[in-house]
Amino acid sequence: MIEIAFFSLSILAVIFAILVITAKNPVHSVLFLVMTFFSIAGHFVLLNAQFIAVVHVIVYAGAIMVLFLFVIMLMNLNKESEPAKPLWLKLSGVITSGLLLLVLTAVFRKTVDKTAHVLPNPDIGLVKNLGMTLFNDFLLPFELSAVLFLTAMVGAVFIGKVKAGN
Amino acid sequence: MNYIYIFTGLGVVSLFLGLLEKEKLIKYLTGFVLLISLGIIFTLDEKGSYFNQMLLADDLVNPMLKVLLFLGLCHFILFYNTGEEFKLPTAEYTALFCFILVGAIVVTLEFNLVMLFLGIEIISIGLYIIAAGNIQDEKSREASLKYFLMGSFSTGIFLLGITFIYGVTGSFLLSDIKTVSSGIPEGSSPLLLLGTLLILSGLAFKASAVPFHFWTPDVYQGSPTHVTAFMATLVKASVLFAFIRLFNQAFLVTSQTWQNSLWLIIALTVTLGNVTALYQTSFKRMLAYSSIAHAGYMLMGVLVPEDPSYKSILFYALSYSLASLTLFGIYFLLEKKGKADALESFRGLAKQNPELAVLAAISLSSMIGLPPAAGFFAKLNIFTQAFINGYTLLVAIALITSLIGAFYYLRVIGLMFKMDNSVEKIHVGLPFRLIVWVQVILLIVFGIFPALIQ
Amino acid sequence: MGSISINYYLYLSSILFALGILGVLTRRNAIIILMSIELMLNAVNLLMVAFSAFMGDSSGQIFVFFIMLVAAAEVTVGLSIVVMIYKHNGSIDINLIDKMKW
Repeated sequence: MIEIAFFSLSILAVIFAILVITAKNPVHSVLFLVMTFFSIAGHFVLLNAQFIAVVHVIVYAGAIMVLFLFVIMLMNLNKESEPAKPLWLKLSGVITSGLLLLVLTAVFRKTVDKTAHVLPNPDIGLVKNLGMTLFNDFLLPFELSAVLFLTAMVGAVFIGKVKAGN
Repeated sequence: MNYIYIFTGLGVVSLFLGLLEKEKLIKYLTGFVLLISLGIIFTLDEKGSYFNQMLLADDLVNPMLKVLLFLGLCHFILFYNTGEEFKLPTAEYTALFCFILVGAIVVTLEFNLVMLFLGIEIISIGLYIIAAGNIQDEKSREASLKYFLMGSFSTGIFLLGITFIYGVTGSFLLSDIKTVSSGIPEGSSPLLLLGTLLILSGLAFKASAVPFHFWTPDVYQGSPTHVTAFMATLVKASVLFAFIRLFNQAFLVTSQTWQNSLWLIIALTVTLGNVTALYQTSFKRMLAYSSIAHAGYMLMGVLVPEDPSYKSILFYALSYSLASLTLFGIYFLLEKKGKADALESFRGLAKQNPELAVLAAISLSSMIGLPPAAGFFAKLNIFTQAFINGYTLLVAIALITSLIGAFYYLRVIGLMFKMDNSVEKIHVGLPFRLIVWVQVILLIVFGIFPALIQ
Repeated sequence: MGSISINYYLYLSSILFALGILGVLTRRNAIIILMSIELMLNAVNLLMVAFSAFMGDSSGQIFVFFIMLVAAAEVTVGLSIVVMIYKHNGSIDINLIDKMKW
């Protein structure tokens, strides 16, 4: 049962990811990316990481992709206007990422055991346990992420202001 | 740790003051706080680990914090008026400056991969923005976009590396990583090796080492000069401090393999950086290649075991940053006069402004590594340490390339002292003059008494 | 997890990561490059959660939380840069942004 779920979600994720990078129309790319995110969220549920799955859908599919859509609509890019890169460049891109994939899989074949596992501690993904870890061990990074967001926010304002000022 | 609070607070306060349009006050306050915290750090050493060893301050990183704060102060005073000239919103610019400084402090003190990641991201996001500071200039916008796209690409690679390390060791704490990985015999865990190499490439990107340097010339050339000066000094120094912390504390066990890769990276970096700098006509692009080369020399310190390497990297970073801040400052004055971004802009500087020409010449000779200036002992330290630890071939390459490098620095010195009557006098403000003199005097003092920094 | 071992997740996320890199290398539209980078980050997220679940250690999932956070911040900044470029240049084709050599 779980194998069927895993393989169907994986196949969906890979197909949608391929569509993201090949779609001519940017809006289609965004929609395919949302579908990829949903299948990855499905994987998270399979791995008993319910909280991360929910946050993933809310943050990525909900917030980030809407931002993408807004910008694309704002710039009127929802048409197939992009000229293609020359063939040799595409080919070299394919070769590069293919080589990377080859190296990665070669490494994995050698390392990790192939025996099936049971998840040792199935409720670590619950909000309660994650909250305990986040606010005990990872309090400082959590606070620091506020600085990160402030930087991003001030930055966006900065760019807007500089433009308006001139 | 306290400095993280101080500068985050300062950033937020300056945003509020910006709301009240008190722009003068923001500047005085920032300068004052920088000065005060520099005073505090020289009297009170910071020690201890914070929040479950997220950050660790000890005797090795304390001098690095001092250097970072000092460079921050110098940069702030040198480019004191830049905001108005580029019509930048003062409050936002100051806040971003403070946040980047926070990021630099975090990566220097990091003892956990989470902190390293967050710190690097704070620095990068701030820099993506201020690289676009001169928005009317097409080059500045281009630099911002290029830096952003390549920077976030490298973040992906860096994160993949962290994930592999986590998969092998089950922890993000540097000391845990070391404990677990020391139980694994060399070469038996390709995952650990691959993770180390991916992290190495991610950090090498931030430190602009070959073959991950391709963004550097464009971004350094395109960004406004004060931002380039910031990237080349404070940010680069903090990334190298993070580099040495990480690799000395976490990865000593997998040493042979990453050391070989780092060896290769350094050899490529010093060669390509110096050779390409030879035929540049743009001054900023030349300094970009020179900063690539200097990153290579500094990385030689990472190859050496713990204690001496901290000191030699610190000394090198300080002497390089002082010299390059001075050069960027002087170039900035020329740029304000409307000179083009070319080496030719320095022609005949000595005629009307002998003071500036002499200061620039001392800084350039420090970059070459000529004896009276600090650059000589910086290079000597690094090279001797590497030589003692058996990297003879690498030291030979470094020596030859720094000889090649001397050519392009000397060319600028030669141009400055060429007499040319068409040159006009440049007015130099008092704070600028003060800081430039302080920097150059420090260069000479450290060059004569290198023991001061130990 | 039945017969699904960690290796399957390793393969899946490296395929997704490689596809992300492929997108970055072959597309010219800055927004699609940004989306490909998001794809890379998601591959990392998946792998991190898988490691964390198979080891029974929750810190990996917290790290994923931080990755999402950084991705959100990066997208905010990135899109504002892209909009700025578009307003000034009228295009976000990275091959047309070549005042300096790449």
